[in-house]
Amino acid sequence: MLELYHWEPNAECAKVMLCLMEKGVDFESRYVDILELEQYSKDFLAVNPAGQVPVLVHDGKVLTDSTLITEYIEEAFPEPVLAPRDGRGWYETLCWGKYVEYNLDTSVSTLGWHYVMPPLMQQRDQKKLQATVEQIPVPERQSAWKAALEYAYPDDQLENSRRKIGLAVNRLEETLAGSDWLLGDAFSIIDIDAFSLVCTLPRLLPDMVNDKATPGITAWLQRINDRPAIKETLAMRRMKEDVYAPGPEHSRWG
Amino acid sequence: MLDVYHWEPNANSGKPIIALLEKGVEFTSHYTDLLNFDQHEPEYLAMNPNGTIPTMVHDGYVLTESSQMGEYIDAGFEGPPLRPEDPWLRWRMRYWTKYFDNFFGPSLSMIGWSMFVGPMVRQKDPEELQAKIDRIPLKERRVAWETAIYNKFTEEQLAESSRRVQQGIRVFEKALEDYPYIAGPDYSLADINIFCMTYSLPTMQEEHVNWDKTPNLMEWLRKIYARPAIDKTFEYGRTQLAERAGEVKERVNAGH
Repeated sequence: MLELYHWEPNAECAKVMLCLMEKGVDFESRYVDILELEQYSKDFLAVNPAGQVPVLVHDGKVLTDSTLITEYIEEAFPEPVLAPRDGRGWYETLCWGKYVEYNLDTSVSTLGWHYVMPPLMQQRDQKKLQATVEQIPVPERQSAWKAALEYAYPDDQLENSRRKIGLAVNRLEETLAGSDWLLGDAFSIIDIDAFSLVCTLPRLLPDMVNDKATPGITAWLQRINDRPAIKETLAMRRMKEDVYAPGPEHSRWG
Repeated sequence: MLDVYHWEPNANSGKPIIALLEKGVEFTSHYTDLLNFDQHEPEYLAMNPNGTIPTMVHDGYVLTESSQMGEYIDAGFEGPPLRPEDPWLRWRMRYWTKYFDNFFGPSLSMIGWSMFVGPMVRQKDPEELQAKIDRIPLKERRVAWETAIYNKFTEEQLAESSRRVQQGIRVFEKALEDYPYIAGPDYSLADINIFCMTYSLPTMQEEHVNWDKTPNLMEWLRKIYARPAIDKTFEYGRTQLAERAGEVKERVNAGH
């Protein structure tokens, strides 16, 4: 049996949801409301003491880390094939996964939180949120949430996020200029990884990602949006607007 | 043809060397002196524009991600398997490798740089040093080198690194309760990758890593040190780092 603890089909949660749906694997959906900090509830901490989604529970085995879960799904459910099987192709799959995560996961969430979330979060009970944050048992996550709830990321953090997204957007655009997909000539878990984060960029950073500046990315997003499994996954959204959560920290030291 | 450009068999450079020796694959070693900034020479950058070490070149194909190289080596060459068959154990292999790469490694490395590497590099001519820093291609690496060389770490940063290293040691000690090796019942790439970052803990973190406090970790280190491929790996070292490994090995065996 598969159970997936997840939030909205965006960012890290979308990676895993899209992957399972593309594979046609049935799973029980367990929605965790990140903006109410349900990931730090007693019940959820019993599943994942790190207090992070997504979490896949497969026949009692608990898997965390969205990029590693997509790699797991690819190996545990080999059909349909969503990654190359040869050594070189698999190495490139792993490297792309790391690249997407390193450049986009934290950066997109930082800018999203900064630009989009303050008005949305103001509608929530601030006192309750602050009290929950005080209870977060993981020190580095606690400081991340404290910083996020001040709604004032320092300029260098925003600039670093924009720079990293810019690097990734350039690489994606270059790759997609000569190919329909990011890895070889077939749709793969790398398209899923990148799509999960890039799909919001036309709204989050419209000056950077648009029909004129990035025609390759625009067409690629459309190709993915047209896939039935993707449509079905995105239809699982409960919130109307794009939402973001504070992501993992940028690396502290090289 | 297989070429490996590496520094001391330490941290990232050790990963492909051990994996290749475990598989019995022949390769040409190119010692690249990190402390002399050989990795930022034009010839090196032509091969690996990021200027990171190690780089592996197999029949013209260039690989630069050290933790992922092992999977390429295991998939492409004969020899004993270095990855479990079971997908769940493979997830464990990658999970632990990543935990050390992202959480534990950078913190341990910050401490190592502030204590050893920074002082070694600061002995060079200041102008020559600045010129070498200026040509580092990746911004993150440039900032990291500057911070390390001029010892710009704050006390707060070092204290946080120390906290993370201590936490990592506790988490790791507990994880080794489940299986004799990191991913599962058998030796895998996770053991190789993580050994490269932890092999000197019994001396570097003497107070916290010893037979009394971390018997699982010490027993695991003893098993890995006993492998012939590890002895051969340290023969590629040219500095005190490799000698230090010999001392740790003695200590790990003596306390057993």
